[in-house]
Amino acid sequence: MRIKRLAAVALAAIVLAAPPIALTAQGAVKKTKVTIWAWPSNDQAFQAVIKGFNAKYPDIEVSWEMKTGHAQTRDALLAAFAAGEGAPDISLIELSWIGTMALNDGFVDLTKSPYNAGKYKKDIVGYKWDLATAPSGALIAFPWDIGPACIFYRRDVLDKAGVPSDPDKLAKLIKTWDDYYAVGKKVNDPANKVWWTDTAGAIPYIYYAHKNYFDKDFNIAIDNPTTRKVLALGKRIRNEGLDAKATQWTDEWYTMLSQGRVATVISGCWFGGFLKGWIAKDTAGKWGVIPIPEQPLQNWGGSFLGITKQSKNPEAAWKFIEYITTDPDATKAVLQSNDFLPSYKPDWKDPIYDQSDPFFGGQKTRRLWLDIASSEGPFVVTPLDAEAESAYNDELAKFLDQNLDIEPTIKSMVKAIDAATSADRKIVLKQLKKQ
Amino acid sequence: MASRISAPRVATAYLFIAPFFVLFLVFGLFPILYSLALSLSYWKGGGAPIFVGLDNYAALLKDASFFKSLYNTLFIFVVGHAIMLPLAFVLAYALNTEYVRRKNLFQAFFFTPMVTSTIAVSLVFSMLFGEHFGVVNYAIKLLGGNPIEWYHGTGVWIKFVIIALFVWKWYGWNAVIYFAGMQSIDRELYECASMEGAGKGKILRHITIPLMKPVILYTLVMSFVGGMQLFDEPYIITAAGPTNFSGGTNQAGLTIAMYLYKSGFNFGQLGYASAIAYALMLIIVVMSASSFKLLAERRAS
Repeated sequence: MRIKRLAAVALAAIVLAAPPIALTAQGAVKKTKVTIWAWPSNDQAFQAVIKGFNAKYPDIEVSWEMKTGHAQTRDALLAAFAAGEGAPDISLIELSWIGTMALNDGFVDLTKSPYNAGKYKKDIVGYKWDLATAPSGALIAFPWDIGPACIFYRRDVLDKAGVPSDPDKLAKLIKTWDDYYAVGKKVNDPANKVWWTDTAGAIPYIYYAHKNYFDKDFNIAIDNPTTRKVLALGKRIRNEGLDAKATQWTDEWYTMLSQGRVATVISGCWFGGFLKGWIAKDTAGKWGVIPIPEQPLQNWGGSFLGITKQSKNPEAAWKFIEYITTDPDATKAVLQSNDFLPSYKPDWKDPIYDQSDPFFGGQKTRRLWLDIASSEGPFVVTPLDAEAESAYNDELAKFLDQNLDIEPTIKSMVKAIDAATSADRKIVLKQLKKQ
Repeated sequence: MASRISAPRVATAYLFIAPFFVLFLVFGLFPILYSLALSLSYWKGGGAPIFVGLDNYAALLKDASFFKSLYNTLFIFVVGHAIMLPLAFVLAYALNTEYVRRKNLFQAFFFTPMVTSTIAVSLVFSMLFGEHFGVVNYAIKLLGGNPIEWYHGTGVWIKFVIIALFVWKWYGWNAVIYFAGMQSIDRELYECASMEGAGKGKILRHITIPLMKPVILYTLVMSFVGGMQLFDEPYIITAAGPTNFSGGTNQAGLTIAMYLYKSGFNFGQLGYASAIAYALMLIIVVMSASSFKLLAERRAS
């Protein structure tokens, strides 16, 4: 009996000791784990670069978790920050909430060591760098893809109206906001259900899309002559029936796009991917793009990759971010998988950016978009822009839908932006004073 | 007089009911109190909340969007129920007559909108009420009218799209409740009344409705609590375009719950959103309490 008991105890001891022994034997090949939170279809981009990344850094194991959409990712991050745990090493951050993240202190400052991201500043598209910089000067995320905005137009609709549809000719024809209106009058044909543009609010919207609401001292800056110009343009387009009054991203809008009922749509460069993918698959060759007149430097969307303060492996996380955003093989792979244009300018010299796109009638759209992103223009960004934009858009919708006057509208826009941003503005100014 | 129940018995009893209280404490009471603390702070989600006292509430009282959302929510509730409750009552009354066989079938039929997915239905309704290609506008054109701009102008029509969806979804629920209420009225009362020569109208006015008052009040109060928190339907219907978190043009479809979500998650102002939540709670409590009080006074007199 005694021997049996002894044998049983010995066996138990061996069984219990075995796993730890096995693990320490493997200890030499321990991998650093890095987790990413993002939303589809960014997983395609991660998948496209992981092989190249692991070839360079075999000891870092990257995994990703896709949330339903960008809003769900933001909500999950806020919950994890509030709980003090559960946040991933890296998170993708969308343009519309980079401001909130800049103010809530959940991401590490990438300009500090060991990241020293500041060395990339001169090579990154200027406004992307500004967008990711908190009032304290910290870079809370690294810029990934840019979203230069332009006018997408239907060549066949313009041809029918006798307007030149070649992009270079059209860009020469539409040099000012007034030109945009004048050409529109020629093309607009509501009797046959063809409109010049989908919504009159597009130009006033894009002009202030996430920028220039404030000046560098956080004073509201929209009371100026250009605002009056774009509001007047929007009013004219709406009142003379040049817009289809369609709400973007609704079924009616998709139908109009695929049926060629709107001649122009203002959107970000990624819109091409949507058209090709599912909105207007059968219209290949019928589209072209030109820059937005008078102020070509416009941006719509784009994302950033940040390292959360809760990360246990921030250096490994930075290696991945650095790789996917700046390595020429990586940015090329991401371009091919997701149609993302990188913020890192040195990678732009790859000939792939000079390819012509058959969907756009053979136009070299990528180079045009990169040119737009490099153009000159006012682009002041603050963490308060998302709130300001919401207030501005509400007043703009009222202005167009109820045919209000310009001066009172500008006054109510300033009032609404002030109301929406005053609480955050107080805190931001306090933070700035502290430095 | 000392309790006849032994101490171990008492302890066991408390242990049995403890789980509920523990869960309530953790998932009910704690969030409610933490929310109150948040409503007195400024917090963007990271770092520690900053105490600001009653600043959020003061800002709320000056906030035009908040009052607009309050107006919208009340408008949708009042008009929606002014249409829906009589409709449900009429349906229940018709169901209650002896002419209708297979009452269960009709009850199930009325109830089907309740089991649909809100998101799917909201999408379908926003398409039905589409301005260019919507079925409703098409029907209006066929009848010789002018198509309605549901999502433009002053935005008032947005409220009616939401009301249409709301009525479609909830009429069955209320009809079934009213029907159950009517079924519980003693048939003998009807027989007595008709024997004494009372017509159907008189029976309805003097027997059915008075006896249904508690049921009607119940549906009103339950609808009020739910209606004040209306979020899914207006959110989906106005989910597209640049005014997408603002309830459409002129913020016409912005309900209080939507404004709370926008402040808390889109703008990251979690303290302010908590203040909105508490304001909403106060409004619901005050109005429910006063409606109960009114009923009690009526009963007393």
